[in-house]
Amino acid sequence: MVIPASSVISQAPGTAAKPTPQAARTGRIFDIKRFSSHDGPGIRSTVFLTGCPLRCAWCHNPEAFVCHEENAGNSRIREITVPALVRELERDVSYFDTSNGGVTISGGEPLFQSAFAMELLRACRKRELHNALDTSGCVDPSVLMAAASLADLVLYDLKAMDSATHSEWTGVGNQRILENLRLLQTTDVEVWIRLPLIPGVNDDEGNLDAMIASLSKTRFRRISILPYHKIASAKYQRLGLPERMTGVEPPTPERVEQIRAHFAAAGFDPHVGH
Amino acid sequence: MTPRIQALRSATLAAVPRISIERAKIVTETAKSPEYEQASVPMRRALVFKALFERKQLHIGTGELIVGERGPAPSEVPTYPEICIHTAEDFEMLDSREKIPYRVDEETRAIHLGEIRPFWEGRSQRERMFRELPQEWQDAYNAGIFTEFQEQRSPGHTVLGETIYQKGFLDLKLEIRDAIAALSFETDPLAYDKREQLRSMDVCADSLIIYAQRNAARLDELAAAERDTERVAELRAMAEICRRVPANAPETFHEALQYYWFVHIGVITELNPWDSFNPGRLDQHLWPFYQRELEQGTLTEERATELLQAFWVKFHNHPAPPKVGVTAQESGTYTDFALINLGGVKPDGSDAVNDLTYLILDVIEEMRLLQPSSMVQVSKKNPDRLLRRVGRIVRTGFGQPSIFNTDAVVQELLRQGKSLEDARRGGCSGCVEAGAFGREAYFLSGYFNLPKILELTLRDGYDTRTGKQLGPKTGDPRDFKTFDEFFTAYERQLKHFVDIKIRGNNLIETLFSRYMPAPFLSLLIDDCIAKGRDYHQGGARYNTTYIQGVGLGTVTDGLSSILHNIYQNNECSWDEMFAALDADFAGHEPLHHRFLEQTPKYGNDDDRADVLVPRVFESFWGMIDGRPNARGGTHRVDMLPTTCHVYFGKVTGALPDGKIAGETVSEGISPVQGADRHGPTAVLNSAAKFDHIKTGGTLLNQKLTPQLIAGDEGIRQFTHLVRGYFSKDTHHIQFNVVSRDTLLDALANPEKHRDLIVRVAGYSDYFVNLTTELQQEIIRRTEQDAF
Repeated sequence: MVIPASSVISQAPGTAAKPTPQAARTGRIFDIKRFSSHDGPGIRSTVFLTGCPLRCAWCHNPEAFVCHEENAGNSRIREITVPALVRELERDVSYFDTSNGGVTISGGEPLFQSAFAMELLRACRKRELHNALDTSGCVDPSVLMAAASLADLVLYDLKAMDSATHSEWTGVGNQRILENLRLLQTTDVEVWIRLPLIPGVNDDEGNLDAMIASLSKTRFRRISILPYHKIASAKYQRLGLPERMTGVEPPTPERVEQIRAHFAAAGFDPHVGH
Repeated sequence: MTPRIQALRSATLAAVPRISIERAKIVTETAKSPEYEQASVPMRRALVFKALFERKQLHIGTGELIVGERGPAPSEVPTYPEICIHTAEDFEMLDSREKIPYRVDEETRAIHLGEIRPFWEGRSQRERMFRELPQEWQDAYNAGIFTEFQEQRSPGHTVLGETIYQKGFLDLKLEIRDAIAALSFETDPLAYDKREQLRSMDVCADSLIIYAQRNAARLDELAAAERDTERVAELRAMAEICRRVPANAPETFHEALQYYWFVHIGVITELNPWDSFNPGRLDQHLWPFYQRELEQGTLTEERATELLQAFWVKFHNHPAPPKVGVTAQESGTYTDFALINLGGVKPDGSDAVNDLTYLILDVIEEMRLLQPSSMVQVSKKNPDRLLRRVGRIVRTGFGQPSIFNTDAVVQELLRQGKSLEDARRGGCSGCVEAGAFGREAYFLSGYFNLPKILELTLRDGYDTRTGKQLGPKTGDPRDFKTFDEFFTAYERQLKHFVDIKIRGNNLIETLFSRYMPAPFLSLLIDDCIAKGRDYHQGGARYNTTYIQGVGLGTVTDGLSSILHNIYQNNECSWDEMFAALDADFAGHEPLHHRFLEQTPKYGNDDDRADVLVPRVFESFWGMIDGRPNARGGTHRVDMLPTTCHVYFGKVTGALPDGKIAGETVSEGISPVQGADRHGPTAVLNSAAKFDHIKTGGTLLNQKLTPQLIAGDEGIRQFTHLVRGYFSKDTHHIQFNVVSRDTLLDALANPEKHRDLIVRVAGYSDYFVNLTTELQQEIIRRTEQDAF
């Protein structure tokens, strides 16, 4: 069903995630994907939380920030308690065991519902489920540090090194994101840097070299290169959202390989797709 | 692949199977002889076997390395009139049908109708069975409640152990001589029967040696006429091999393969046993020869590969013997279910994987033939790299090899009373059936239509299709106050038909043991010689009769619909249910939609539905497991359908799960087609919710596209998925990697492909749920993956 744009209430972009004051044990999710293999090591179950401070033009989960009144436009959004969610996520524990996999908490920006997300991380840890936090980094530093202390792995998005470009394509500048990454440097949590590779936005040598220069000063070496794909296009149409990516084609495999090799030559451990 | 193998492979792929009348003629002429008339029943079978192997034409093809054909030439398939007799219409249909034809020439038809059929009419095993089986059995059979395996083929269903690699037929003859010498006519009332049985085995052993000698002589003739000096040497060497085996134990890799092949031809010419015959643990049996010869320098890896490939072609030269009547119409495959086993554990329980395991996997991948089929046993003791290698072959998309959980199979066999060593020497054959190889006669007796039982329960035992009161009157469901009352009625119906089936099985087994022994096969299976008893008579060390349950998913979903829609949530009344079922859901679309879309279904890791799975399984299992068969053994349960779920669907009407009349029921232990919506792990979790260890086999089909297991990462995930499923003590999984054609069909007919899972971008999704654009992209990617 197509929702008239006028009836869509989007939470405003640019507001960094703050801890939700209450109802920490209940949160809003829009999907659970089982047998997921690109959100951390092994076979994983990934839960997607609603809400996001960014508006990345290429976002393939736009339902994360479209909160239609009474959820009429997106019946998959549901409220769930942490214990109920953990019960669903741990159903595939046999496969986590064989693959050293686990649970990934994604979104949206999962820390947009920070108390819920942290309760979830804590519950995973208590039950010895490997947990990964997939974050945009655009969150309050104290929230991020608290969450990182509960996570086994942080998947950290890095979209563009130039703040103006970042702002143009995601709706916010990258200052906080870079600062938070420096903060993570002081912890000992495992971090994988995720680079959504968007032709014409961040695939130029200038940006890639800046990224390498900046990351070289950190302890982070594991890079996930995530080439742009067109999967979300239909979702935009269905949700009646403006589409900015029209005409952008996925990068060629040759270009992706070139970039992977570039990172590898600079001493990183780059992987494509995961 | 060498040019020789390329030529042999092309020839076997191009061959159109033909019916050969040679066997029927020899069998009939022998049966008319005075010697046959005077002989005991086992000796009659031995005389037939001897005549066949003394007289049947020899065929040695250009460039062949392994010799021996069942018919006068490759893909020439005999008939078995002593078991069942084709009609003129059968031959017409087999000859003219577009798919899976068997050509029948005029001469064959004339001889069959003029000489063969008139003699065997009234004498065939099939007619003997149908004369004896009671009306209640025939009614249930005609209504499609169960099928009967032994109706057109002899039981077979066994796999060779290690005997032939250690003993020649001359050694077996000595054992027979000793066994006859030990018989006591003073004290043993069965001494005469045993002696006749042992004598018949002895004649069969001689006959196969004679056949090998005939081949040796022919090879020498060919060598004399051959100009190519390399081939001359090869033919001379092959002649030498045929002079040594099967008379003596094999000493080389080539001898071992040729020995097995002679034995294979013997078994599938003697009778038309189910699952043809099968060397079983091939990488284990051949390993000592391979290892020794590599060390001695008399064999190379390349030569071993070529010999194995030539061996593969021999299997492919032997399409399944065509059936008669409706069964012939409905069988759409040349496959005869020989299943090569690789991997697993040794008798001492240690990891059995060796270099030959990987070499044979290469052969499977390169030959890419429908026959022989192949499987890999995976124990927790086997390395992950074995599974990774398997994953790479599975990904190429021809459905082989299937994957079995050795640790579960061993537990299953132990529970059935096999010794630990015998269990570890075993494996699976046919589709998924567990057996103690070389020591067990495990007959499959027939598929059992569980959804039909549900239908009869709804109808108070009355079959609307055949218009008969088939089952007991267990009451009108409208009067059942609780779901448990309904389930009790279901169990009463089930028990009624299981009892009919078991009585029928015991009768049929007795008829085979009395009238149609298999002395040649008996030579090969322990302890037939020691006991002086036939394979069909309980001569094997273990004697099992399986009944195979079909439609677990459909029954579970049907019961779930009754439980949730009628008893728990009051979504509909029994009257509304019956109105919808009677109309085959026409005009009841909202209710049909509720049954299909809004009712808990098996295959989604949803306990609301899955809680019924062990209940359905345990009731079926509890009524069968441990009941005696007619051979001193026991009945057991398997959960597998082959293609019978299509036939069972046709004879079963509309059901509460939303199945419309005639629609296919669920296959194996897989969910109803399209009912699973939560990905592979959810399917596997549901399937693991009953106790596989109590069965002798379960079959789970998982559809995948090549993208789902793309790249090294995909192969690793494949490995983890299998290990995860097997960690729940489950029996088997096979991956159906779908082709581009299937994807195109899914595009045109999405309703038929709702369970088709595709890899999208690091995650998987249902193909039909993707946008058209993305579907097209996946199809394009599939094309790329085909390179």
